[in-house]
Amino acid sequence: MAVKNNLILAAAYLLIIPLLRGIANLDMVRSAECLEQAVILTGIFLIAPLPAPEQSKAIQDVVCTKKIPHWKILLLRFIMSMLLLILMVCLFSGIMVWKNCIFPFMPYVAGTVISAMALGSFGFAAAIFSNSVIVGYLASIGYFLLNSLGNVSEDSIFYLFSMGKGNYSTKIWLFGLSLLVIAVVFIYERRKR
Amino acid sequence: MKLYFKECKKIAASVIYYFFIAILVFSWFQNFRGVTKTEINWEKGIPPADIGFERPLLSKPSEEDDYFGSKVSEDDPAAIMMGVTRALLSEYESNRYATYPLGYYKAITLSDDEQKRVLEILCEITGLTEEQLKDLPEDYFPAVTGTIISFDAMSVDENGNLNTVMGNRADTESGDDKYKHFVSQVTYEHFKELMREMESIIGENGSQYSPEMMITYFGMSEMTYEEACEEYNQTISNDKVTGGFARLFCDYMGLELGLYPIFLVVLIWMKDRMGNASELIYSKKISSARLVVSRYLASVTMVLLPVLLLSFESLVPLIAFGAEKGISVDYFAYIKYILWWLLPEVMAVSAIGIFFTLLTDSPIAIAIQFLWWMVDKGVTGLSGDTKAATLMIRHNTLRGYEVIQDGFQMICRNRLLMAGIGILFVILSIWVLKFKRKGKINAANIYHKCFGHMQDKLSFGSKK
Repeated sequence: MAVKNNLILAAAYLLIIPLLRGIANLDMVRSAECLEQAVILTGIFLIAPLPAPEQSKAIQDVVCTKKIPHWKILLLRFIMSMLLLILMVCLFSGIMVWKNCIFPFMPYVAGTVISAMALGSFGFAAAIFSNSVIVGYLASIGYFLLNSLGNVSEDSIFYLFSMGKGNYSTKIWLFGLSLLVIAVVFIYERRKR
Repeated sequence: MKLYFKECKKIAASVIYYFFIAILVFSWFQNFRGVTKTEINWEKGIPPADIGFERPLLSKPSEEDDYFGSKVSEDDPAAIMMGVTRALLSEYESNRYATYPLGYYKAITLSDDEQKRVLEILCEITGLTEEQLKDLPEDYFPAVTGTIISFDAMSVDENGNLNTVMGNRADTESGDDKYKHFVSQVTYEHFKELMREMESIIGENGSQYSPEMMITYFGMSEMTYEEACEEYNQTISNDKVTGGFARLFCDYMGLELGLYPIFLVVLIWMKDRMGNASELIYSKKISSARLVVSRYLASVTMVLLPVLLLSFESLVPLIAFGAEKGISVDYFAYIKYILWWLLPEVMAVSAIGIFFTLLTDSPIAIAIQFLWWMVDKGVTGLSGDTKAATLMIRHNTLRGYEVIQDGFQMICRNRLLMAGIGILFVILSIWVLKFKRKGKINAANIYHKCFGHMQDKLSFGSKK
């Protein structure tokens, strides 16, 4: 249910993108710009609010009494969200290709998914540690905007828009960092419960 | 007053407030920190590593100076026509026309008929045929025309730095052979008419053929000694040194304050629901107006407090500079700019956050504000582009006192509108809270009909 709700929001957001910016006739650099500066935000919608359903005190009390550990539920939601994220990015990239954009499909999809995962996982971690999805949203959107407004150096391993500059090594770092953050979150959740 | 201080303390103790401060400080650190010190050092003869096209703001120009800074103007129509024609030719060849209707890139591809008309325009401007345009000499355009720089104009020095070699405009201008160098065959007025036609052919706003963009991209020229003196006098006499710095500071801070306060405000009101404290608060004696206004004022105060503190990093060295040079400095420039430039913005953002959170019992206000912020940032130019409904006034330069003065009436109207939006949404929030306390508005029942679907998606699950 929680994932389904996030999916609706992410899909609604993807529908807004063509109203704000062009998704047709783009060259490699502009395609990367569109994917990295617009599509990766779906990561925030899909991953950051995953702990939302249990953030009310009453629900937390109920969850604690359940047999299945909370971290396992979160892990399941996370895996489902990642699959949905990959699917949505593939679909959007496919539409871009159909709309006459020129870019290498698989590397661009992978790069976009990694940046979206990084955005979402930082928000997810912030939401878990602060017990507030709003803090999670702030962390994710803050991270995105610091990149977008040029406050994060292009050489930094936290830089989200490296694909347009032909740099994929940052994506490997981002992927590693995201996995690390997710692992820390689940270890924390497992010990907490 | 007691409740106001209590709310301030509550905000100061919340995790999200420290997240907010961290992002604000990081952004300030990256963008504005050190700008003042750099200008003061430059005046003392220590130039910054990256000079760009500027001259030291705080030092008096001398006729012996080699360079008086740059300006963007329509003073050199030939350079503008050359730059625009070069861009048009390049876009015609690729049949991909760049536009920025909402500040974000959109490529337009034209039909064969439209391309034919573009070719006719190009032929009219250059006086060349289609075949001649296809086979232009390599140095037909100079290496640098406005924002377009050829690879030939780039060189790498011994330190590995990339340098741009400025084109020899004199050579180009002196050559009147239209087959060898670009020489416009139309007047500037007719050229502008043709570009207006180009805009309509492309059919989207924000292409480089709009009059403003043509000047922005290709209208850069060097200032004269007199113009540099005028700029210096504006900084010292009109701005009283601190004005320009305060504007740039507010430009950067305004970008952050157009969005981040919403998180703080939404969390303050969502916390009641998350802790199942809403009903308890509703049953208390305190009036709805007092509760909303106290929380509203507390959030506005706490949002502006770190901004005020950050301004001292620039104000203190400028006061010392003024005292050292015997120049009169406006000590209150920052506080004045923060109050009339940033306060209305924070008022509007915070009030919108309260209203939509109370109305929907969900963080939908974050999505609304994020969308507004994105569109507003996209459609607003970097300076002098304030319209009636602009959320964030942009002025991304230490200079340009006259830009603010010229548009001052519009800026005042805009800020009054923002403050008005803030007050209106606070009144509406009080009204919503009153009805909620009486049980007449219940997000779970009445608003379920309108926002119900969305609210379910965003709610924190306490109803489930």
